[in-house]
Amino acid sequence: MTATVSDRLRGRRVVVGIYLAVVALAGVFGAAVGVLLPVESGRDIQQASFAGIEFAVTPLNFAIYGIVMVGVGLGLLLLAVRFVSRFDDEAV
Amino acid sequence: MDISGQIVLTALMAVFLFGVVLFLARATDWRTYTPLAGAGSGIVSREGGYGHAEKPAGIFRWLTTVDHKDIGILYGVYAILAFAWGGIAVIIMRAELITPGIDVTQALASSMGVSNGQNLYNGLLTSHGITMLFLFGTPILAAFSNYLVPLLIDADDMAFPRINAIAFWMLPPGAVLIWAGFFIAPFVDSVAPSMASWTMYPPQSVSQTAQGGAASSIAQLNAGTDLMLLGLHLTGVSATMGAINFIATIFAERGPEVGWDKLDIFSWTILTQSALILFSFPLLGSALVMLLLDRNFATTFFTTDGGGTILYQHLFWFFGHPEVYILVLPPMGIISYVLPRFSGRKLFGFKFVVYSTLAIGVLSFGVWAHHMFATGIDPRIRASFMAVSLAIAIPSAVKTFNWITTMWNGKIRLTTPMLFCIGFVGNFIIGGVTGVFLASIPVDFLLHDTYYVVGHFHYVIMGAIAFAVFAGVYYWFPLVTGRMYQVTLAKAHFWLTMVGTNLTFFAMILMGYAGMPRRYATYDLITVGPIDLIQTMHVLATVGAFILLVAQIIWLWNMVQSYMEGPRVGPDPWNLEEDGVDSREWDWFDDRLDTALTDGGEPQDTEADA
Ligand code: HEM
Ligand SMILES: [Cu+2]
Repeated sequence: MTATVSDRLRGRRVVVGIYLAVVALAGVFGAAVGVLLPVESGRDIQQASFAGIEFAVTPLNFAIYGIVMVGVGLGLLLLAVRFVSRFDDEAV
Repeated sequence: MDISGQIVLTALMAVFLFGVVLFLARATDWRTYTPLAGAGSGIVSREGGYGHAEKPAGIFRWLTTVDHKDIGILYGVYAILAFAWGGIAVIIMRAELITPGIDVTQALASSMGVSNGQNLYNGLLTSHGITMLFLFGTPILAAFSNYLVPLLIDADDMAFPRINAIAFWMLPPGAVLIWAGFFIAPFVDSVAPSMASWTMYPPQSVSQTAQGGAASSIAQLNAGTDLMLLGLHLTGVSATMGAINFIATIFAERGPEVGWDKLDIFSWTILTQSALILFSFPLLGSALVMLLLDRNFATTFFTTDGGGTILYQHLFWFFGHPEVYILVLPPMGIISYVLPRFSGRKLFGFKFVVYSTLAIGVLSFGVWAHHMFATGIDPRIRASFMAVSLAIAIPSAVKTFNWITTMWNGKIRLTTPMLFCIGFVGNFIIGGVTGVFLASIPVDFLLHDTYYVVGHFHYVIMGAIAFAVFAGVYYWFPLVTGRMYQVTLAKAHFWLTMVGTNLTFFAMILMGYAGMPRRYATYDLITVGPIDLIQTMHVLATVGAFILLVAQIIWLWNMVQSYMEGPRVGPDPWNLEEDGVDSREWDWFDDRLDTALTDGGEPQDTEADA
């Protein structure tokens, strides 16, 4: 019976920690896709564009792309969580 | 071997088996399962309830039991054996895929009585898929629901205890039939493991021979497929009987204090799951019977001059898509139940989690054709299925949102069950988002039948469903065994499983982008991405699979060893009372412990998992 209150972590710290880890991972995955797309035979994809912005398909660009997309997407979700959690009567 | 030799061998086998039966029957000190310290013959009944008095000792107790807790354990043991079978199958497949050519399965094929490596690969693939979905997935969830639902709703037992036992006992013969091809192949040339894949699409499933080609007469068909279809039918009947039992139990057997408003989230998901089973498995049963008729009685349900192969796909996926939610809803229930306990609070938005469960249940019957976008069905029909498929993501997102908010406003204890809960949420997001992309018709055209699909559903099935199962196993391990598992091994299990899952299935998603088609034993002849890149990805996926294998061995060792010698736990092993999140099943546990104590057992202190 060792689990006492001192072992507990603030929930929001944990959630934000997971968020940061996931965004970092998205960068790694993006880089992997950046390696993959240009060498795929038959398709030969060198340029990509998003919302009118053109960029070359490189590991770095795709890593940034992954970080921004996932960071913003999940970030919005977290803002929503933060907002809704104000109406949470059972918060501890 | 000549005939008389075989007869002698058969007789010897019979004598041997008879001896085994005699031995088991006499082994009365067969580790009699008593959940708690020294409860002797283990009859403790709660007030008012009827106990299961006078259970016979030894193996006969397990063969004759109608106690929901025993049946839950039987389901669990069965499912773990199936998990091992499916796991070994996939390890052989992943070993094959390390190199582009055919090698590992080719080397194994002749000794297993299969004509060549590709056929063995296809047989293993079929067995892996069917085993994991029908013999591991559905039964392991039944293990939880059988053990827990009657405790959670304060019922004495299931509504129909004997039907409960019958439903379970249909499963072992079902498994033997499903795997029969493997057992018979070494002895009979014209039988091989079925190669129909888990979807069993005609025309192939109607006409395949043991050598892989199409048969020109019924006499040449691979009987391995017939046996598999019969076995599947049996497991379908079993699941349906179980579902009816749960519906009756939750409706009619709730204790006086458990109104609908007090029903816990896990029982809600089991109720919804049971309804899905009730409405979808009969479709699978019908399709299977039609397949068997086509194969053996020359009917033409699924030949082009009959209803056609598309008819089969409609029937199959009308069952098949609800089946994936049959598998995912109870795990969502486990997460919704366990995650708040280690966040030290109640689930945020309980009502909405229940509503979204019901919404998923209803909507899951309206999306089946997203598995058929590439078949050339009417584009207008396609579009409506795309819309519903996107819509079904909403209730899933609601649940995810509620889990995150629960953690946000909680105080978190990173116990092993909690780690698996968090892993579930992460992997489920990846699995769900990749699914939403597939639901969009143009994207699906690009990715259909590639490894991307395999990556998508494994993120859900392994990354989420299996994670929830592990969360549940660790969380209720003390409840079932009265002992605590070894924390360090459990944490190692979690981290290895997390890394292995993401390595394996992310590599598959990338391979899908590169165009690697699914269900192939070799890739030396493909014309998509550069072969060394594809190979690198296959090797990564295989490394991940071996990490997963090591992790599960650690888990099994931990479970067995802790069950035998783990430290005994007190009445509240998770310190739930401190946070006011205690629940009915642990109260029941406390009661049993008290009874056991008066019997002279002595619990020792345990190290809690923190
Ligand atoms: C969150 C919403 C989900 C959506 C929108 C979705 C969508 C899809 C789509 C469109 C496909 C067909 C891909 C193809 O064959 O080209 C697919 C395949 C599959 N999905 Fe999902 N999915 C979702 C969640 C799930 C869940 C929760 C599971 C499992 C419990 C699952 C299991 C599967 C399986 C097994 C397949 C493969 C079927 C086959 O053999 O072709 N999906 N999914
Ligand atoms: Cu589906």
